[in-house]
Amino acid sequence: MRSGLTLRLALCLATLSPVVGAQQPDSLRLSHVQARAIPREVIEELARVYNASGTLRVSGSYDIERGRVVDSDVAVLDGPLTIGGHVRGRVVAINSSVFLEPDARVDRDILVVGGRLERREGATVHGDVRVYAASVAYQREGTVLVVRETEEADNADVRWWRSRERWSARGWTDLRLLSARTYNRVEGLPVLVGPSIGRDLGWGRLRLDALGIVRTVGNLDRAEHTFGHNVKMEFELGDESGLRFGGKLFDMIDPVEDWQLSDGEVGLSTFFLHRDYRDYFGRHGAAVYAGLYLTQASDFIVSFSDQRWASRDTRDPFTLFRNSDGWRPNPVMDDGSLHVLSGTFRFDTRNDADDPWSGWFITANLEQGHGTLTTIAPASFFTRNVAPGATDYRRGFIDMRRYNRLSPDGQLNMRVVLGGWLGGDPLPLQRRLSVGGPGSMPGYDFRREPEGRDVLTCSSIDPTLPGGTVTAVSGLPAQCDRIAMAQIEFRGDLRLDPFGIFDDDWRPWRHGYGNGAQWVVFADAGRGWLVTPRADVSDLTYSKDKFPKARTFRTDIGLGLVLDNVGFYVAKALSGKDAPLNFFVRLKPRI
Amino acid sequence: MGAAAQQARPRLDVTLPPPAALTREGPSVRAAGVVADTAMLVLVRNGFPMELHYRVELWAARRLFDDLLAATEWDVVVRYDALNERYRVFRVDSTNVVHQLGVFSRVSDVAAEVERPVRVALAASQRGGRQYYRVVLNVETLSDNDLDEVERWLRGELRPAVRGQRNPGTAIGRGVRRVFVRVLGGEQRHLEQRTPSFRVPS
Repeated sequence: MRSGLTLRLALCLATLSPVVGAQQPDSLRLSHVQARAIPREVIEELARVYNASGTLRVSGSYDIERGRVVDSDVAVLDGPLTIGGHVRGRVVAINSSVFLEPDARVDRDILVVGGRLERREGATVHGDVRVYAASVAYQREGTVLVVRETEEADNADVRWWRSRERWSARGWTDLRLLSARTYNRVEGLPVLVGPSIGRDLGWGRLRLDALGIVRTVGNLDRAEHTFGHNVKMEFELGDESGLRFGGKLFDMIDPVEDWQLSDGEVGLSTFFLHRDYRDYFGRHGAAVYAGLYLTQASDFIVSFSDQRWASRDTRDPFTLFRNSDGWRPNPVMDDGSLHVLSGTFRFDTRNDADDPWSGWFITANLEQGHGTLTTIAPASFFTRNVAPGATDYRRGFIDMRRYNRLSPDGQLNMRVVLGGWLGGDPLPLQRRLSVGGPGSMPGYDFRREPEGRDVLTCSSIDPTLPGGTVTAVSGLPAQCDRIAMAQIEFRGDLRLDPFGIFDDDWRPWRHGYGNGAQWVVFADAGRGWLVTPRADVSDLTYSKDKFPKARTFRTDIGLGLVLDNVGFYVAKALSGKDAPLNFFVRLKPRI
Repeated sequence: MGAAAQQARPRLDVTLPPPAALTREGPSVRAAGVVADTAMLVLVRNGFPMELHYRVELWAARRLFDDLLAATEWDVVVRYDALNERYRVFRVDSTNVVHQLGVFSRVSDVAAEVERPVRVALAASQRGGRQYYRVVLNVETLSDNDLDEVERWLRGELRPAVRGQRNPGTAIGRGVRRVFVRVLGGEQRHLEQRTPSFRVPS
């Protein structure tokens, strides 16, 4: 090592650096760390060395093999340059890394710009070493290379990366074609098509989407069933945190309850198994909204809308299996015109949204609806006693999930869902709730024909009561005023990669990928109920201030095996001794 | 399993620093065999960028629930420049700064660059007790997140654009590409590794 040697190593590494610790040359030491700026004299030196007549100039990957001696300077453009031999001159790397093999020897300086230097044990450098991580821009003018400091717009990689960001430019215009929601028995596949425009106005950002909706199983005789729209204009102020406000016009079909299964699971189940786990109704109207978002962890949005609700009939979209079977009817919903004021809060501290190990995920919604119902959908006895006319209701819903890591191999997750009527008139049918089925309490069948009173959907068949019915409401809609559900599960890693083993035989390229395997034990408890002044009429009805006793809740337990991202589960209802085991598949974590 | 298959098997290697350096240095992380993934390479050659998203978390083992002490993320992107027949490799750190890693003509050079071990600047906590690292690598040739984001926004529901720093782009082009990606089996790969628990020497 030469004493008094001045070595400069400029590194621009914010959070990580190449592992050069073990490979760090003993003749190199850090003298200072420089961020991104490259001094003008360095840029001039790059060009001077590269353009010198005696320089060995190369472009792209280049090796100076062990035993080879290069007497001149070496300049590499867009390398990397690997040196195993002996370079008697300078080494200049432009937008390139330099790798020094164990026997490498460089007698003079090394200058690396837009890359890094790695040295294996045994390599020697007898000159100064300077490394700048930032790249430079260059162009050829005849045989001369002109080098200058890179601005973002010069760098193809930076430009490409920034282009992924929405507001990288002052504006953009796209034509969009995408699916809205998912495949279902009312619309088939709803497709959105139309222009999308974004403009940076300086004081804020404007975005406009004007999308038409085409449904694959619509009825051309009734255009409103085939076509819809979703036109939205939004202003956004701020970056990581800020405000947004906007308005929209919509004519869409929405699910009654979408909190149980994901869109993807519902769509796949509908398309492959001819089984749709949701009910739907039409919403047509306009809304204005304003929101506050604070980092990525939380936001709060208030909206006010004027909307018309209407029932939608079941269509007969194609399914891969059981295509000739009948569908569960889409239940008739209430029709009417309402003003809906809604506030939604989200709090998300999960470490990983796809595979959370820790954190909270909370969504809460408060809604007030005021307007006129023109048609009242059929409902079970006791569910409600209303006639067409004015309505004014308040409804709340909260879904709280907590993820806890017990050990590197074990996880305990919990979830509580509460929702339903808070005040005013009885809830319209499309604002009512239920539990039961693979998305909530899988030990119980989804929308099973009730025998007597069903605390999961609040359907009832009781011909012994005055006004009681002998048949359930068509489509078995969710009818509960309120629901409460708690879930808990333990997940343990099996340290297996079954899909990888399989792929090793058949598709080697996939070997080793995937989330591995986990075993799961879970338990659920929940029920729904009706809120009426006549709380003593049945075990399905409670007064507004009463919460059902714990022993009245339905419970189930189950086991699961999650392979990669697909979970195979079996669940058993505890509240019914004769209930069979239910087998189900989930494509997302249950909680 | 043959030697070649063993060599090509994608895996994450996570190596702890020496005990004395645990509070000064983070773990070394290396993704091996990822670029050798034939399906991914086909996609990259056809213009789909390969994105490797790393996330490293430092956990403290507690009596009841473990604590997430810190985390860091970065991306490594491989793009094929068909005009010049070169692979461009760059890294985007957690502050969204782009660092060029090189322009390569040979896949082996790309593999060497992408699979070079990196030292993560996430040192263990002096007062963290028993700790361990979790490393997750998601490899994808096209981000479905973009489309998901558009759909959320259109629904006008929660966080319509909170994460919306990305340009959803032209949906027709993305949709067609996504179909191709899925037909080719590209879409996304996931690798995860955890270190053994360790204690910081006092």
